[in-house]
Amino acid sequence: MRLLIVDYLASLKERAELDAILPDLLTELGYNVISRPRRGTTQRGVDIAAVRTVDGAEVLYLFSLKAGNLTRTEWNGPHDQALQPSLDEIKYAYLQSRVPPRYRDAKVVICLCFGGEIREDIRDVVAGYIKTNTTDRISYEEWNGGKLADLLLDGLLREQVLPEAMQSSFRKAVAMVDEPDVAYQHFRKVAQQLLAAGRASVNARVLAVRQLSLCAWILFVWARDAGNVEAAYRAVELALLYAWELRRGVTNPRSREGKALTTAIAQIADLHVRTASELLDGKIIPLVSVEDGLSMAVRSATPVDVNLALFDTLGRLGLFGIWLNFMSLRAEGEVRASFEANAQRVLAAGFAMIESNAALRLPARDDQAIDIAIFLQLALVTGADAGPIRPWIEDMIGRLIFSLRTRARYPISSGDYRDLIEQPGDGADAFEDMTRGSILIPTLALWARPLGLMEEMKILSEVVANKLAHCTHQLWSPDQTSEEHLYIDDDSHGYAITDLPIDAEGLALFEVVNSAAERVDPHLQGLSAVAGRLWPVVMVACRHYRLPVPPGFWIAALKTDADLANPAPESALEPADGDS
Amino acid sequence: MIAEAQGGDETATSNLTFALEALADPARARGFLGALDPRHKASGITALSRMADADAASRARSLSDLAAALGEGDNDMLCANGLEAALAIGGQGDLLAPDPMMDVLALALKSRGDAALNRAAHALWAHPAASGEIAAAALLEALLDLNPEHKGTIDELDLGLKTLIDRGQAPAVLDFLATLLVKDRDRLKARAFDSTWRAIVSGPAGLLSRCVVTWLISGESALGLAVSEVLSHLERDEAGLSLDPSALPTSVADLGYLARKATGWFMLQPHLATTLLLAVLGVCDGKTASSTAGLLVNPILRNYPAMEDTLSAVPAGDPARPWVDAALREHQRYLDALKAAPDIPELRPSEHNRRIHHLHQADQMRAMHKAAEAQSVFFNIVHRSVMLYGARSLTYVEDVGGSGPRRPMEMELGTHEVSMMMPWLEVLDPIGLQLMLVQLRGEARPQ
Repeated sequence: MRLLIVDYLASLKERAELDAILPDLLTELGYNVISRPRRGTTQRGVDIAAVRTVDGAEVLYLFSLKAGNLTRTEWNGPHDQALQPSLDEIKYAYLQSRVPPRYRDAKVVICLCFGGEIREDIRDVVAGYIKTNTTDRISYEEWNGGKLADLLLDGLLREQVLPEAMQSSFRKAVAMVDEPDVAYQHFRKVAQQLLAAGRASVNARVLAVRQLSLCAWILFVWARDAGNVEAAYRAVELALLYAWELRRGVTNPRSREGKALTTAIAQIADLHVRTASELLDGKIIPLVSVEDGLSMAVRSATPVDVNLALFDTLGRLGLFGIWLNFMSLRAEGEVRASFEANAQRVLAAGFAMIESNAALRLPARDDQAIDIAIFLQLALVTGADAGPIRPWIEDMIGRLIFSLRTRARYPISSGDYRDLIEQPGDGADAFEDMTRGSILIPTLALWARPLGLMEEMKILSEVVANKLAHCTHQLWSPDQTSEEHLYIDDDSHGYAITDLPIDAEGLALFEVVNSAAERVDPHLQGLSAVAGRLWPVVMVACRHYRLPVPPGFWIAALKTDADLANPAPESALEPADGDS
Repeated sequence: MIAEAQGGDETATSNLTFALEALADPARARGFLGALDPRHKASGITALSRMADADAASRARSLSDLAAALGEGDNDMLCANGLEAALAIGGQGDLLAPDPMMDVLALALKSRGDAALNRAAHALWAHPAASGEIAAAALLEALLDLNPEHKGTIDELDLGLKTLIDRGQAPAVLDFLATLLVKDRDRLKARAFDSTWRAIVSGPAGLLSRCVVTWLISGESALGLAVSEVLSHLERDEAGLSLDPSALPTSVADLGYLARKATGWFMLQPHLATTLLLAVLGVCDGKTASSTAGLLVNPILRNYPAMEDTLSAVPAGDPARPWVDAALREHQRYLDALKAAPDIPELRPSEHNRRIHHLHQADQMRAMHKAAEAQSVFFNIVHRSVMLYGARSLTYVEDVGGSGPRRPMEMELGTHEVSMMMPWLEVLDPIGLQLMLVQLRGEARPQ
């Protein structure tokens, strides 16, 4: 386990990645963190400040962080983030003017903190610097990767709280990042055990969420180094949902523990966005405009694999954009503009991907309507133009009608991969069996009406009447039990809004869904993630556990007189501001 | 026996045909054509068809009596016999005038009875007189009303049409087939006329290509489907088509239309489609050439990258060459963009799904193997050995009768393989592929 963590620490690419774990680690080790890393503010060399009582006296620890090994360039190279200038700034600026009055006379330990090791060629230089600058009040400590690993094992991952069985599963998860399904299964075991352990007390919840965060971080870094973040992406989603489950159990979110949980969850959400960015910004988006580029990248000889991979990716793009948009609403000035631009960029990438990869013009599985709904939710929250939505929905309805009429390659309601590759065919029994229920058809029909696709609606309603009389058209929304199960998926929950009428005008369908959404809205609003102003967590749950996106999120935007080209940027669920 | 038959004896009536045939006297046979008993009448007609009429006057009399015997042509069995008899008599030599034979044929075919049509189909290859232009036209016209479910008649017709092609009536045969396949589009497959198609393929140069071009630009989906299925069945894709430019339509609109139809109907036979597109490119105007070259890029090259070799082999002086070069450049741009794409392991199917797919494929292959064995002509007549090891076999065989020592027989293992190209769109966008085919195949001919 130690080697695993040492490697993880050495692989951290940015100082910010070290930022993510160190404050929690220090807290767990008994330090009182008084200053956390902040972006865009002058830190005068100090990334983290913490206080610890040593022999009855308070000692001020000032950490200056660097990622990876400490090389000559990192020590005093020309770039802004070199360590020696930072240490000088601490001595000449921070200690002179920034130390809180309470610690003016406290002894100071300046910690040179980095994930790797000091290179031999500058060890004597660093030692000389420390010797020269050490005084009665100021001393220096070297916190390298090995020391951090030992502290992690003594702190967040200590045997008492991360037992051997859990460590074993976690090691397997890390070792199998090239086999995402296997890695995810092992990670889920760890997450489930941490969830169980966290329920013991409020403090246990804080610890468990921090451990979840750390485990997710380690998995992400290993997966990134292995060039395949699939397992990490799914693991981080799960970690976020489990963390929220632990957080929602805290009665007072403004308590010390509540705030600690909120901070830890924010870190996991940040990791979620970072993982998504690693995959989507790094690999997917550069290829979205290459005709068939992503389809060919699936490297499979079966169209089912292409279809599944591409719709899954579209859902991830939608979720990524939703998070960026969500963050923009909590930022100001240039940062806000940057987040907004990024959300728009992701949305445009999604449409380019649809344009370049024809597989995205009809799902193979009915539940891929979830990915479609998430992506369309991004279009709604960013106030996207209806321009590219219309031809996409039109295409999907056209192909759906064609596939139902020919009874070939129609979207099936079974989630079993075998059913997909065996292609149930046109036999009446197989057709009925595989089209028993649908969320795709109502979703497309609801979007078709405000987009003016009336001819398509008419034909669709005829086909549905003639060919799908046996099919239960439905949507889903949370009920009073959903809060208990949504984030951990341990039982069925929610309302299946069933027997939706697919009428030629779409009016009856809209009225029923709109009415149902209003009726069950209190349950949606009552979800802790919505009430707690972190509604994208619900989207994560929908994507991860394959639950339809509740119509309460989007139905209001599809009113007949709604102008899809200029929808309200924030739905009723969008908080004005918040502390999440 | 003849007398006893006339007296009502059943046994004699059953053998009346043979008795009349043995006498070889047309006048005697004609005497039964007016009989009240239809069995006597039928015997007289059949006997007439099996004996020689001595001269034109006698043949004319026989035909005249035949016509009278058929009456209104409402007895299918009599009509069937009468039709054969008329053609047999007509085939024996000159007639005073051709009309009497045609009159009998017209009467025999009037009701389009199943038996009469069966005999008409049979006559096309069995009676030389049926190959005459007028007689053949009359028979073929009647045969348009055949029942496609009568496999025996279809088989007779297949042989008859082949005979007509061999006797130089290919255009009439192609017209007839086209009309018949359109008329019975949902009940009759072009592949039912296997001998006819083989005669077309091996017939006069350009016959096949004329048929393909004519049928494609007819706009009839039944005919497009017919050429597609037949050429696939005959495994003609690799051979392509030897297209005579004179077989191509002359109007710009038809040329473009032919290119689209060829692409639609020969999507699974890319060599054929490419041959036709190249032929169009060689004679069409710039605008049509641009759209035709677009078809070469997508869907042909896009679905069958291997067609690059075929296109690269187009001679430099060929008028299609500049357009082929443009298509190849565009295709290369597409491939270069794909090749430049980095590996994305996150998109790959999971190991679990790959295993399920592999098992599914293995099951499919096993089922196909069993089906192939079940349909094999040879499988049930040869001894079967399954070799688990080795690259050659050594077997000791016993000679017939079992006398003498067993003989060693060595056999080298050979390979037998069949391959086919599947369009890439089957993986990337199977529904899109189907939609494109529906659109290309269903497009009406421009006015």
